[in-house]
Amino acid sequence: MNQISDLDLITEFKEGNDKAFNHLVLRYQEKIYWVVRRLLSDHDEADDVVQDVFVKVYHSLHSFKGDSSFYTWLYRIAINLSLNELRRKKTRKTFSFDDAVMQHESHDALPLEQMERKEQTRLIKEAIEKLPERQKKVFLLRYYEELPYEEIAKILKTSVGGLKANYFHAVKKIGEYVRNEMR
Amino acid sequence: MKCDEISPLLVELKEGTISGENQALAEQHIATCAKCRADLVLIGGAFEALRVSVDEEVPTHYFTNLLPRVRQRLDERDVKKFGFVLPEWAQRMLAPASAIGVVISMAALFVLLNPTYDTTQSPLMQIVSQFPKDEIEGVVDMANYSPVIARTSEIHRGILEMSPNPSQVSRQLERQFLDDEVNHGHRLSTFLAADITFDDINDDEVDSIIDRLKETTL
Ligand SMILES: [Zn+2]
Repeated sequence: MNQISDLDLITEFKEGNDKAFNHLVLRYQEKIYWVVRRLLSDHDEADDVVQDVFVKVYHSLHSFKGDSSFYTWLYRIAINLSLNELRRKKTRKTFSFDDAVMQHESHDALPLEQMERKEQTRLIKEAIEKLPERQKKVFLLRYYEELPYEEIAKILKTSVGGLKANYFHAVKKIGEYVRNEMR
Repeated sequence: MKCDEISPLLVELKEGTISGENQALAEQHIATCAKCRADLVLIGGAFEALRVSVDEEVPTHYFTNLLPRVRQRLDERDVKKFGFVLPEWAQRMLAPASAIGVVISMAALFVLLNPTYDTTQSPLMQIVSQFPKDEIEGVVDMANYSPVIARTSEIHRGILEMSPNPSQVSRQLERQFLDDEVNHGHRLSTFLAADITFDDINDDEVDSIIDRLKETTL
């Protein structure tokens, strides 16, 4: 049963089997969640956007023609909705009390190794947040999703050559950020 | 070779994905180029930090509960937006027609926002000009009932919000429209779902936009 292809599920959905949509959600929810979460770096915001993504998918699936693969289309929706949310956030620029508390959270109680991990995790998160949008997208799809450049090119509608350059700059910037902050 | 050509190879070198031939090229270049040597150190540092860092946590049962919550959102949305739920067949029938409506009202909006916009230069305008005028009005009228048109209004609002430089925004949207949908033969609604979203729309605002669209002569 696990072998039903995305396209078959979509066809079933178009033919009126509403439950086929559920299978698609279950199949992709984790992947989509992590793309969105890494772009937004906050669980609650990611949760909202992930729901939006699947609501959009539900309403647009009838017009999905299958010219690109379903997951290319899905990633594109997830990335675009996340970036919209990021832009909205930037314009709102609210300061949340929770963030302030989190930043001053004490690390004292943790063993050394765990402390280092936590510190590195924080640095990586900040470094990724600071990347320009394009580099951020490329980095997340390449590093975390481990997608081949050819797939990323389809999702972002661009050339492989440009992507490799984007990825290089992204990784280099992360390296610079980590080095400067560790000093 | 230039540094720009070597850069991607530095990443591959640290990833361990580089081909033997490229590895020789890269190492040869690094031996004589201090900049690329420094870059290589940074890249190594980045991958090391990435390796050590851990994924943050997701609340327990999050993935078990996601689907029911999405389902709930779908039910709420249908009722909230339209006050009633259109039958599936009706929604399907409306989709292509309202996709046309999207293009048309986008085009109308270009005119609204850019009185000086040269329509003869616009491929979108050329497409729109092929539709008879009464059909155009009919589609715009349908706006109140179609979910896809509701999304059009989101776009309208987005453009209005992005003023004071609407012409740039319109041109960008237009280009995407054509690239994504017309050239690749997708339905326009796919584009809407994929590329643009905005907050829930305010009904009065939508009405006023639709009124303005109706007044616009194409
Ligand atoms: Zn060099």
